[in-house]
Amino acid sequence: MKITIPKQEVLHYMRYNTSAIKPSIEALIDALMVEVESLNYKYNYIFKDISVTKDSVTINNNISFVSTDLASFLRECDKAVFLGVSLSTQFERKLSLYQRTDALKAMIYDACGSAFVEAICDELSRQFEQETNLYSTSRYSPGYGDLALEEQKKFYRILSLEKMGVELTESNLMIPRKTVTAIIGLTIKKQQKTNIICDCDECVIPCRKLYGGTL
Amino acid sequence: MIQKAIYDKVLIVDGAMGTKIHQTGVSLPIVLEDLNITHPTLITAIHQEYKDAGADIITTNSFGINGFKLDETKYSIKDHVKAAIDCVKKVDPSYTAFDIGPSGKLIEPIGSVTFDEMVSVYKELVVYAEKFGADLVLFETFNDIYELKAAIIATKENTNLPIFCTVTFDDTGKTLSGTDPLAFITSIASLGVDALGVNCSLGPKEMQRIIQELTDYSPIPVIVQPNRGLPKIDETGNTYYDLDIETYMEYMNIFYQNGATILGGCCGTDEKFINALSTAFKGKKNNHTYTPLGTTISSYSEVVDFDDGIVIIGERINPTGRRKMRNDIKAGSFDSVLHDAVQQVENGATVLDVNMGVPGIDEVNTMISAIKSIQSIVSTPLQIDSTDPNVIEAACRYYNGRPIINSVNGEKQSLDGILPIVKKYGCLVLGLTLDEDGLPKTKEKRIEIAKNIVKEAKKHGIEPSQILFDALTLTVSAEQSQVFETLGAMKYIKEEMGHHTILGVSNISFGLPERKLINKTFINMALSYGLSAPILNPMHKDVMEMIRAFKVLNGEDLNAINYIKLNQGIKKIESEEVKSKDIKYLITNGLKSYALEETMRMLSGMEASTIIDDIIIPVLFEIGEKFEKKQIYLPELIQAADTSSYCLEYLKSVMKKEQGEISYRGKLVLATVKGDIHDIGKNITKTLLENNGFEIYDLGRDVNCNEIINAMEKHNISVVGLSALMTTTVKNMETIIEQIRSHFSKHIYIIVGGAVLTEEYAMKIDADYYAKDAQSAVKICNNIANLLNKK
Repeated sequence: MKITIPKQEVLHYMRYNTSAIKPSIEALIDALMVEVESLNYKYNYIFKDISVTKDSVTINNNISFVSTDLASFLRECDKAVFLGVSLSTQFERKLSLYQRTDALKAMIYDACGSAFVEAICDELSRQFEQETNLYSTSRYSPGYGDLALEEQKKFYRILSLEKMGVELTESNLMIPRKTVTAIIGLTIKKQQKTNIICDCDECVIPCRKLYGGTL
Repeated sequence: MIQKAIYDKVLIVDGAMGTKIHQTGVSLPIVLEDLNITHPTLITAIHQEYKDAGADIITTNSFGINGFKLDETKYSIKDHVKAAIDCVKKVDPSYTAFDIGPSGKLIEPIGSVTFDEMVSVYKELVVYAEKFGADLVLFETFNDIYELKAAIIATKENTNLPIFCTVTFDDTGKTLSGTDPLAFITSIASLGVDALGVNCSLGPKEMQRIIQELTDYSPIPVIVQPNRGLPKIDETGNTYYDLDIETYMEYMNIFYQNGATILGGCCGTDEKFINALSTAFKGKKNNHTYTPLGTTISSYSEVVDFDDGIVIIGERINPTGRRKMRNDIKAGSFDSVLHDAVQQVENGATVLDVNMGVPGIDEVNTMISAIKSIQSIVSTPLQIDSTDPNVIEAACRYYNGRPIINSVNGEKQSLDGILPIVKKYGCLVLGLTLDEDGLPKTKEKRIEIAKNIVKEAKKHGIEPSQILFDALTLTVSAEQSQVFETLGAMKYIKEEMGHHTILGVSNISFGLPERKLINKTFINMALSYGLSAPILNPMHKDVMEMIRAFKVLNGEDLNAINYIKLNQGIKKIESEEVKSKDIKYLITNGLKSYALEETMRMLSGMEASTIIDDIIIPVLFEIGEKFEKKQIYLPELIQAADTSSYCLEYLKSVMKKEQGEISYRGKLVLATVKGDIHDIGKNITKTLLENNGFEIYDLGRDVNCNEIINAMEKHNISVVGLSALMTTTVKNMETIIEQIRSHFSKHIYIIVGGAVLTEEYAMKIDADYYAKDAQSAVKICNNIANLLNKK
């Protein structure tokens, strides 16, 4: 599927919150957006029945996530989809090259990468809604709220991320850096899509969009 | 012997394992392979179904198990391998293939494990696989051919198992790490595997073009195991595959007609598909003719075929006679190496020669690091240049792709040292036409040595197409008559012996004025005599232009398309408006080349240090203030910083030449802490600090405390900047600060920064300063420098 990067998002990641973008920088942004859009990416998703208690979420009766925040997030759902999206190592290589040769290009390229991954996730979420005739929640990832980052291991297994060429490091970060895993709840009731990360008092991680987007 | 069988007839491989296990309804453990031990009858029953359907090769249920993943299963690797093979052996198939998937780790510098760690994880698997009776090993669903190389080397070095390997391509026609079918074939078939191909990821319809390329170019039998079409989701959200057997078989028939002879299925297929395959193709004669790889080299994503036309080998990555590069390499920095790599590629080099011959260094490890660094930013294939076989062997091992070795010669010692490496890694080698008697004076003797090298190589099983020759250039000022001996030998080797030729040309002009002119003319002559690949400096524009013109005249640049494209716009219109602007305008607007020109112009009337202190630094200061007042934004700050660093670097090199040393405002260590891989912010900070006169020791990302303390001690530094993006790694930051404080008796100035930090938190973890952005880091460092200077 052809994904278009929303320019607003790129500017957001760059913290370039102005109406007066310098034309030379804008031209560079436009060119790099096209470059990133042509990269190959990989994704995998898997639907699971879930049961939710006050402080845990269990899938297929055998894998559990202990997290009050996640449980509350999914309280309306009895089905969820696990999603993994990753830009290829080509992105990493190109980024290293730009970091060596042109700092501004590197910054923009990085922002385009973050916006691209999110755009892919958004498009897939739309497809899930269409195909299942259910409403989807926003995305929830290991490290949000009280869902420990260590739970990334389970996401990794469930999604067979090795097949996508993704590495999970000892500190539970994913390489390539532009990799996102998330669980998305599916319900018959339309939900108010809350931005889980931005305006959450309890959340230990501040706004993902402001800080690079690849948590 | 399966190695013989694959050339005799079509072999059928089994289909999906995961799909079949799901269908049994068994409660799935986290590690699917545990079922080989807990439910062996269930797994064996699946193998039996595939055997009954007609599969010749049954693959074990062992895709996801390896030494990196042991914390999720209670069984050892040995138990797993044995159980997986036992489950297959019970059905007594013609061949038991031990199945191995990607490890789940990536190799550095992109990933976190070393190549050797990767090799040893695969070694453990394949050694047990052989011990417990597998007939072959099947590496499947690989994304990264570098990891696949590690797996193949582990198998070749430790077992006698035949090797089959399949990778996954996506709809762009490449693997996720950017490898296309041709680069895959060149890099992997050269390592001496027995069969290669494609599995998973796509359905047969989407695979057509890829398989056509594989069957056209692979020198060994091709495996095809497609999914049952593309996955779909039903209304309850479950994934399913619905391609019917007839359509599947239609495509498989095309693949068979193309020449694929090892056929099976992947996700979504079952015994019915295998049965259909078996009914149609099992035992059919393999009539496909295989073409050898030829004189080709590759990186992970690019292939250079010497048959396709003139190849430009860039000579610049060589410290001989280059003081800055030599000093950099000695200090463990590859900055100038990488700079030259990028520049040469931008100027038209299609291969890069890499030489790390600096006296007194550990050349083996330096070469390994150089290759890894270069390959992390450019994908141009490399020529490994060393006189030491140990260096060459190491380079071939860690290189991602099929390299060319520079060089072997007719001396016995050289032949004995280099040819086994050429054989083991299946690479190309450059033969120099000299031997124990030195450099011959005649064309005839050069040819004789070349023939001898070919003969010796043959004894090692090396194909003639793997050998290129350099007929060696002498200095024209000393031995004028030698020019035609070189050219004559080259012509003979190319035309009569059928080898491609390489020539280092710079020697020719030694001792003469206007050397470039002689070099250029000589290249022109050599190309007319059949030179395939000059080794030269691609930064010499007129030489490169001459070669482009040559390609028109020799018919290589068909209809002069490239020539026209490059030369139509050659007279750039210089914008007078831009040219007349001052340095401040040029820096603020990121006009790098103009800013550099203006800097050079100013140098004619001013000292370099004056330009820095009185002109550039004040401009940077003003830009910094604007940023603080939010009159400009981060991208604009970075643009200006980057442009000025371009000018400053030039000015510093001038100062170094004039004064020998540069004085800095201060020096500090920068690092992104252990566990964190986000380093964009740290890199921006580094550029800004350097521009403002600080010397930076940048330790990179994922850095542990010992590395930081060592660097501080080694360079006598008492200021350190730490960055972290993640909440989890901020904790590592705290530990590192604690350890630095307890290690040093003097006060260490610690600055921290990163997205999740706050002033308050910075103080809590005992940092001295919190830098909210790169610009404030500059301010802080200026303050510290003032403090330290007062002391």
